[in-house]
Amino acid sequence: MTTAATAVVQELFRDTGDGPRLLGSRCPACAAHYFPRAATCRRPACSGTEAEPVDLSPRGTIHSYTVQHYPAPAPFDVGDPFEPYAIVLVELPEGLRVAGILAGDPAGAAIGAPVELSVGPVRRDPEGTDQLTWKFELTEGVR
Amino acid sequence: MTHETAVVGVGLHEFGKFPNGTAAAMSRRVAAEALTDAGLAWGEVDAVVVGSSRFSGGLARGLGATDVLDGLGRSGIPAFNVAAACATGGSVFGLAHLLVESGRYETVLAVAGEKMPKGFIARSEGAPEDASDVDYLRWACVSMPNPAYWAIACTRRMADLGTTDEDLALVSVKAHRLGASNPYARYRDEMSLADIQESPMVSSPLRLYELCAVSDGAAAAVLTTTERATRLEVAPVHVAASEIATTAFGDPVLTMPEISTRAEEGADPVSETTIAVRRALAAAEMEPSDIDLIELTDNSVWQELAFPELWGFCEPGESDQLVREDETMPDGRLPINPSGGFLSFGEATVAMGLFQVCELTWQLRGTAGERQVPGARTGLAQTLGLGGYGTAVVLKR
Repeated sequence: MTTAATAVVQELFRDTGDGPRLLGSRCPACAAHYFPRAATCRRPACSGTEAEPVDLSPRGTIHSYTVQHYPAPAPFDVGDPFEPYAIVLVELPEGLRVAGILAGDPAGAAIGAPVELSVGPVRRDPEGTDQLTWKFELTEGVR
Repeated sequence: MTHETAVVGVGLHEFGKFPNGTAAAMSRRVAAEALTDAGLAWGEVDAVVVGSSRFSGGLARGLGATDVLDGLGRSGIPAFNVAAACATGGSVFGLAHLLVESGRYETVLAVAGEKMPKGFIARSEGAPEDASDVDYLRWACVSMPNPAYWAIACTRRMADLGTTDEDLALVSVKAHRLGASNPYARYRDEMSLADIQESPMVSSPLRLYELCAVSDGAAAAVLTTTERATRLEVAPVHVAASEIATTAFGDPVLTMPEISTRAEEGADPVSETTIAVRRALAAAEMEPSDIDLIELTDNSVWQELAFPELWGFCEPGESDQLVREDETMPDGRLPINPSGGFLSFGEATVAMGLFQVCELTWQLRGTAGERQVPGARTGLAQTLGLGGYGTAVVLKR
């Protein structure tokens, strides 16, 4: 039996009318962004003691990547049967580099390639429910 | 008043898979060997520092100090447990050094041993599904095992500096040449370039034989004041510096197990180790050119190429050429991992910092045999642990 898909971990991303967004935070004092949300700023000299919640930019470029040719140890493996997948480190305009699985063909991973945030299944739980995570998708170019 | 400190005894268990051994028994053996090496009796040890594992999810497990003491006589001796993931051994040494240097205890035994589960390192069994734990998030949301972190940094290095697949493989060829002559190493066979390049791809561009395995192993060192050392028969190896650091803000390289980083202009890459090494060189009043050999954490071939450049031992991109020209071999310009490194030993995570101290001690005594760095007078050892822990030790003859 398959039930409705659900986020593997809650409150990391949300759907907007304009596509998904990662839920980050921003230091009001120095503008440093964080994902996941940070309770306080980590910049040593910063006076920021509160973090304001922000949606992070859904678009960035691939800073670097790897293609996983082995499944991660259970229960955190991906796919059945296993297919190689790319993990990309994406540079966001906010100055933050965020890791995520690249949706689709891992051969498309390339440094500098523009990507866009998406949400897709990472694996199924024992009841057969798709568990969702944030992913990045290659885009044709900067919009 | 601080006290000059020396390593006067070391003990190393051979690395491998020992189904019938226990971490406690292996640790007791190397502790006893280190004391014998120093010419000291158990009763002359004033305190003990022992490495425990720190796995994900807040689960501490593994060796405790009393496991090592048991069977050696219950004297009521003070004991300290230290945990810093793969930087544990370096941190154990750091605390032992501090205890002697501060004058609190004269002679301190540092020991760590571990039996590793089979296969790739996983999130600890039973660790909670904790959304505030980035280690949980990297597994649950990104399915991102440890080698993926090194691979992502390595892909970027190849694009920025022109490192080739062959350059990567040559690091492993060199490691196995050295491991072949080290009786303590787990992997004692030389490997050809083809052997490495035909091994299965794990996290591109890193192949299986370009990654360290996990092993069972243990290592120990005895530290005392140089004043006390002069009354021992063994030639002391002096501790010129022992430093510990943690990840700093703005590090452009993703620190395991984080899932994001903010890259700040001018911030140190792999900051926990880069800062530890910088502090250690400063404390030792040395420049990189004063160091005769380095034992570093070659969890993968990427670290061995990148780290010496990040620490100022050579220029960005120069490591590839140094390896290609055998300059990182014991008789080269910049000897790195004459022991054979993690690639030849496999990693018994908590023991590695002390394994490195064993190798440096033998090298500085001039007793390292076939892998001896000719005339070695100074050595640097470095560890890096999950969660952002770095250590650096400088020893000198």
